[in-house]
Amino acid sequence: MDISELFLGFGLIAVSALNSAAVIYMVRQRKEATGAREGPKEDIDEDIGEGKAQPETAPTPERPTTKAEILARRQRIIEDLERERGTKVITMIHKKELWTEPGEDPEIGIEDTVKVLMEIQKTSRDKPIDMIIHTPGGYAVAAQMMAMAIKFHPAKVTVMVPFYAMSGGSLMSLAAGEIRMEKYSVLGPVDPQIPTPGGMYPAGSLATLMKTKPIQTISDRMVILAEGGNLEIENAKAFVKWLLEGKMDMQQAESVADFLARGYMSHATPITLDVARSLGLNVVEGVPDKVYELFRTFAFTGESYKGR
Amino acid sequence: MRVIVGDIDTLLALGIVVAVSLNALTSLYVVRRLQPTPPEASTEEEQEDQQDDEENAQPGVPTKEEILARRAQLIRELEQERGSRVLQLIHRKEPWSASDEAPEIVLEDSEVILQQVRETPRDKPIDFIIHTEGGLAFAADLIAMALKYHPAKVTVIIPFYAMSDGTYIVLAADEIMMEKCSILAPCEPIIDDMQANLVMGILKRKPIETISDGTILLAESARMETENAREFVKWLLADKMGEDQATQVASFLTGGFMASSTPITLDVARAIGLNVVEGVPEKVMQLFDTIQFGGGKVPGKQYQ
Repeated sequence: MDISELFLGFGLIAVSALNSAAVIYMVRQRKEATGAREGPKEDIDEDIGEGKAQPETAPTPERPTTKAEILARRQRIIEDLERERGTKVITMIHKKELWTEPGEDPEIGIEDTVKVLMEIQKTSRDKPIDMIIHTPGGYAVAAQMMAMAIKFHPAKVTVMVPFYAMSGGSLMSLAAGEIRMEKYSVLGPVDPQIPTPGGMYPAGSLATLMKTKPIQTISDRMVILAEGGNLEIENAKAFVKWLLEGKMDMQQAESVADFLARGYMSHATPITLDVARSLGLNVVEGVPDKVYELFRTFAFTGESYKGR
Repeated sequence: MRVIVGDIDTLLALGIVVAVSLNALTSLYVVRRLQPTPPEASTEEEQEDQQDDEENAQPGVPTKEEILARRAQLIRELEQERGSRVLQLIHRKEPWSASDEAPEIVLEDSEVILQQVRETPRDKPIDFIIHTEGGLAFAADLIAMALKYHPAKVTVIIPFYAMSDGTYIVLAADEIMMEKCSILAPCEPIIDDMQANLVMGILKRKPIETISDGTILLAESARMETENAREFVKWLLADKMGEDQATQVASFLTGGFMASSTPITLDVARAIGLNVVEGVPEKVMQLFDTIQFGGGKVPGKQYQ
C-alpha cells in the first residue's frame, strides 16, 4: 500500500518533468530552425554592403520588424534631425528593403522625381532643406529635374552623402549650396551612358570608337548611337555648367563640367571629398549622427531579401 | 506508522503540486514564445503572403475607392474654382495596376479624351492636366488636334512633366501652366529607339555601300516621320506666333539639334514664344497628393 503510493507519486512527478523537458526541447528546436533561416541572410547583407560595416543583427525585442514599424522609426529619426538642424529633411535612399520585389534594383526613376519635387514645393521658401542622397544613379532626366528643384529653392540646400551618390546623385549634389560628406564617401562622374545592343557604354567611349576605327567598318547602329552620345554629352555639360553658375566663375564651371561629363574616366571613378573640394565645390566634412541612425533602420530586415 | 504514511502523502501531494506548476510555467513560456509566429509550421510562401496582406491592409492607407472618390471631388472643386471643364491625362503606375509596364499614351486615351472634348460645350474653357512620358505619336496627334479645334480657351497644366509625344498636346494649348522645374521635351520622332535625325544623318556620314539595307529603310521612314512632326508642330503654332517663328520652333523641336532627353524648361518654353504662366493651381497638387508615389509596383522607392 505504502510502496504503491510512493511509486504513484514518483511516477506522476517523473511524467510531469518529462513533459516539461519535452516542451523545452521543442522550443529550443524551433529557435534553432528560425535561427538557421536567418543565417544565410547575414552573408547576403555583407555581399550587398560590399564590405560596409553592418551593425549587429542579433534580434533585440525593441527592434522594429514590420514595414510599418520601420517606416515609423525612420519618420521619428527624420523629425529629430529636422528639429536638431531647423531644416526640412528629404531623403532619396536607394537600398534594398525587406519589401523589395525580387529582381528590383532601386535606382533613380521618374517617381522619385515627383515625390521629391512635391516635398520641395511644400517646403516654405525660407526654410533650408537637407537632402540625404544614397543612390547608384539612374534615369538622367529624373535626376536633372530634381537638381533643378534643388537649385531653384531660395533657401540653402545641403546635400548629405553618407556613403555614395553616383551619377544622377552626383548631379543633384552639384546643385546644392553645400555638400556634406565623409572622407570616405564618394560622388561620381556624370557622363551620359548610352544603351547599345552590346550593353551600356559611356557616350565618351562611343566617340572614341568613331575616332579610332574607319567609319565603313563600324556598324550602322553604333554610328547613330555615337552621334546621339555627342548630343547627350552636350546636354549634360550644359546642364552641369548651369548648375554651377553662381557658385564659381564661368570658366571654372566650364572646365568642371567638361571634367565630369565628357567621359574622360570610368563611370565608377570615385570623386572623393578632396577631389570635390579641389573642383571648387562647397564641401563640408562630416555627416550628422542622426543620418547614420537612419541608415541603421535599413538593417532591420529580419528576413532575407525576397527571391534571393 | 501513521506518521510515515502521512509523510509520504504529504510528499506525494507536494510533488504533484511542484510538477504541475512546473508544467504550467513551461506551457506559459511556450505560448509566449510562439505567439508572434503562427503556431503551425507554414511554408515560407504562405508567411510572405500573410506579410503582404498585412502590408496592404495598413490602417490609414486609403482604399482604391476612397482615392478615386477624393480625386473626383478635387476635380469637381477645380472645375468650380476655374469655371472650366477639367480633363486629365495622367500616366503612372497606381498601387492597384496589374501591369509592370509604365503606362503611356495609347489610342484608348485619345478615344476617351476626344469624346470628353466633344461633350464639352463649345464656349466652355478646358483645363487639361497632363503628366506623361509620351507614347504613340498618332494618339497624341489626335488629342492635340481635338484641343486645338476647341473654340474656347484651352489651358494645359503641367505639374511635373510632359515629355516626347506629350509635348504635341502641350503645343496645342492656348496657355501653358507649369512650375519652374516642370519640363517638356523635344518631340523629335524616335525610330527603333534612335532619334530620327540621327538615323537620317548616317546617310551622310558613312559610305552608302557600307550601310545595311535595313538602316537605309529606317532612315527613309525617319525622314518621313520627321517631316510629319515638323509640319504638325508648325500647324499647331502658326496661329499663335506667325508662320516664320512657328517654322523655326518646329525645326528646333524636331530637328535633332539636341538629345531627345534634353529638358525644355519654363524659361526655354517662354523664350521660343509659347504662352507660359508660372505656377500650377493648388488643387492640381492636391490631386497628385492622392497618388501614392513610391507605392504600387516600385516598392524600393519608399522614402521615409
